Amino acid sequence: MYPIENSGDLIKNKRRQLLSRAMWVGVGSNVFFLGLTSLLTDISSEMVTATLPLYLLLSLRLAPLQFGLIDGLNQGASVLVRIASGLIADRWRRTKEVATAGYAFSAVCRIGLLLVGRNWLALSGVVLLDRIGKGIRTGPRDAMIAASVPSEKLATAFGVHRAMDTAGAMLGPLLATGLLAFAPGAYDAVFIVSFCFAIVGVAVIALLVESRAPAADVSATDLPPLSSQIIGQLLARPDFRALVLISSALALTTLSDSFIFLTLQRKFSLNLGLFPLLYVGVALIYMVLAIPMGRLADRWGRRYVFLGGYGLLAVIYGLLLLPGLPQTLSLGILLLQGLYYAATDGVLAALASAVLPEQWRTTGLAIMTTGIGLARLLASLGYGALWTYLGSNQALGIFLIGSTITVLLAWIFLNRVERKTDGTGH
Amino acid sequence: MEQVISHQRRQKIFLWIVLGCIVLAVGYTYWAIQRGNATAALIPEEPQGAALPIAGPNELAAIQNEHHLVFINEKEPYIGKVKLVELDSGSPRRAQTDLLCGRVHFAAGNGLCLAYDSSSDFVWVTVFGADFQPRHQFTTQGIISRARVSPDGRYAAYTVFVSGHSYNDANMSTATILVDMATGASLGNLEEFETWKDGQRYQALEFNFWGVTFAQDSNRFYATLRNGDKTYLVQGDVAARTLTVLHENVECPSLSPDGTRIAYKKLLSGMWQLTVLDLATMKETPLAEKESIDDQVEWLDNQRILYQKVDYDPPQWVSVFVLAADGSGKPEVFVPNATSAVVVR
Repeated sequence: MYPIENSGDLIKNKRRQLLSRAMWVGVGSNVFFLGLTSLLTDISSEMVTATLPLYLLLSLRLAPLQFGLIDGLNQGASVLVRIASGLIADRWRRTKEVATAGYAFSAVCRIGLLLVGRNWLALSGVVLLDRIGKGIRTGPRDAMIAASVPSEKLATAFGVHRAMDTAGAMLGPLLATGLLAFAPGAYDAVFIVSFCFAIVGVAVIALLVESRAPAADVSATDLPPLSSQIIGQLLARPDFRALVLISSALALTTLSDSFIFLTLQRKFSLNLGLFPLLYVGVALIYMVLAIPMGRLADRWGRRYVFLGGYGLLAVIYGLLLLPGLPQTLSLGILLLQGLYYAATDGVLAALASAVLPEQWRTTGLAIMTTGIGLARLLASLGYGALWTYLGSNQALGIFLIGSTITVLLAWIFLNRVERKTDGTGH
Repeated sequence: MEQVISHQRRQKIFLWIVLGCIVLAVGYTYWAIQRGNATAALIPEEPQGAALPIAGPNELAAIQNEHHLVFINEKEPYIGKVKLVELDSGSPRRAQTDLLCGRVHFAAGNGLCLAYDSSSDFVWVTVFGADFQPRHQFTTQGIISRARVSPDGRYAAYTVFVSGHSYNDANMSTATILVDMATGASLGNLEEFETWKDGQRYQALEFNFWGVTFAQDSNRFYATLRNGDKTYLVQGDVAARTLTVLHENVECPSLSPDGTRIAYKKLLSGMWQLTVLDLATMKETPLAEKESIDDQVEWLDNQRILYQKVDYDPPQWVSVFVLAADGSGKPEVFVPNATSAVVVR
């Protein structure tokens, strides 16, 4: 049945396979370095956000409606630049350069933090600029991850990346806290150290990550036109359109972490000092589960894992609505939320990368994340309004019903598209 | 081949960048730690609203377990009454006492309070304990100036103007008295001590002493001596009852917690410049306070000092300011509407 192979080659191949599996769960060094860039950059940015008392300002002093607006703006801030950066990256085949520029942009913002001093408004402005840098780099970076691995390992690769990314997000605040313990009040030192991490992050992507996409030695005449038609063409693809619609619809009924934690805090009258720990708890679970869930998605089918994740979110809403729950259950909710992230975030990127043509992958990913970003903005605004005018339980009830219906519809829809386009099942 | 070379070069550049970043990050952090707490967080502002009630013994004890500041509240409705606030805390505890003082100092559970009684024109000198209740009390006459308790709480020293009312006044006369905190008894006026200068007995009729600061062993102390139009830093010994002249033009010395430096006011063309004197090298460092300061400063830690001056915001109010002790930075309000700050270690 099998052609007789040279046994030496066989052993060599097997060994290489084992070696690469041992390292980075078989996704290759490029994904690892991209993850490292995100890890370093997230250490950098979270050192700053954890230090600035913006969190107090936002989550504790404002009315839910105002909070929703700012929360939504924060989430939607980078949306505008996403598609532009995607188009540029794809048109000139410059994913790596655009991603590097995005990382460098955020690194420069750290210096901005030093310059603006203690003016909160200016600080918020710099944080916003930092988010724009994030908007520039996210699409190209995800496209590079997708280009670095074979199709059947997409979700694992994204899992590796998200795990490292989340590890950075957790290390950042720890580092900042430790630094401030040794040098009380030395916010400038926090910004400088944060800047150093950002620069090393930029150096990793610029110098160690290889650009897998064919370079731009294609002559200018061969390049496809840069126009909004591309967006239309991509959205005309039924499998991609379905994914954009579904992910946006799901985002429309997604509560931001901050709202879930606020609800949790009120329900269980948690100590406000524990608030940052909630973020850490969820991030920890997300980090641990990102790779296993990615592998599970690659093996079982990404859409099952993805929709399962959103199902968990509905379960969380349900739990938050139940009266008389023991306080220990708040831990269970954190666990579910971490699991929800692990099952959805990277897996969705993998789902989209698989259906997008490689040439327009960055733009496609940007379109999808833009849809999600806008939907989240609406969700935050809507939830804030519902909470303010109807009360927290009513708002949660509406979101529970909404998310349950969306998950069920998405299930039917995804399966139908999957059958129609005769995908490989994943 | 080009690819290989460029790959190796890229790795080399990467290593250099990492190295540079590590050096910058570690170096800057090290410097920030060394710089100490020059830009450190000040005491967070007191929440608005009704004033605190007078604290009970438990509240007092709770704060006294922590690193805290004792000062005189200059805010209604407790103007002139001693208050405590926790240090190094994002949401510090505060306790208001009922003790009325014009100048206060406190160490190791023993406090000294000077209070002017306008009805009798006396100054009440009160020795009090950790409960802020009077233990010993006696009266003297004059105008309240300085008070200091030794680090172990054994001795205290206070200064009043006997005639005149300012260190600017050429005809003023001061009395600086040592107090045994256990009994409340006087250990004598510094004018009764033997004074030495350049290895010889130094005597004059119009010696004036003020501004005692104690070393960690509580026996050694420093103070200002004025003879004629000159002031000197003297080092004293409580047990031996001697004083030795060390340096010229030093007023109201305050010894740093590590015992290496003295912060003081130096008379320069009619204004008092806050200055730090290194006792090992006798090197003087002017501090970044441009206004004339008439206070005996208190060390917040080994890098920063506290002192009172008029705060123009709100206008004409006295506040406690904090300033780096190495000549850098600029003064910042540490506790608004407060005087006589004491760091309790």
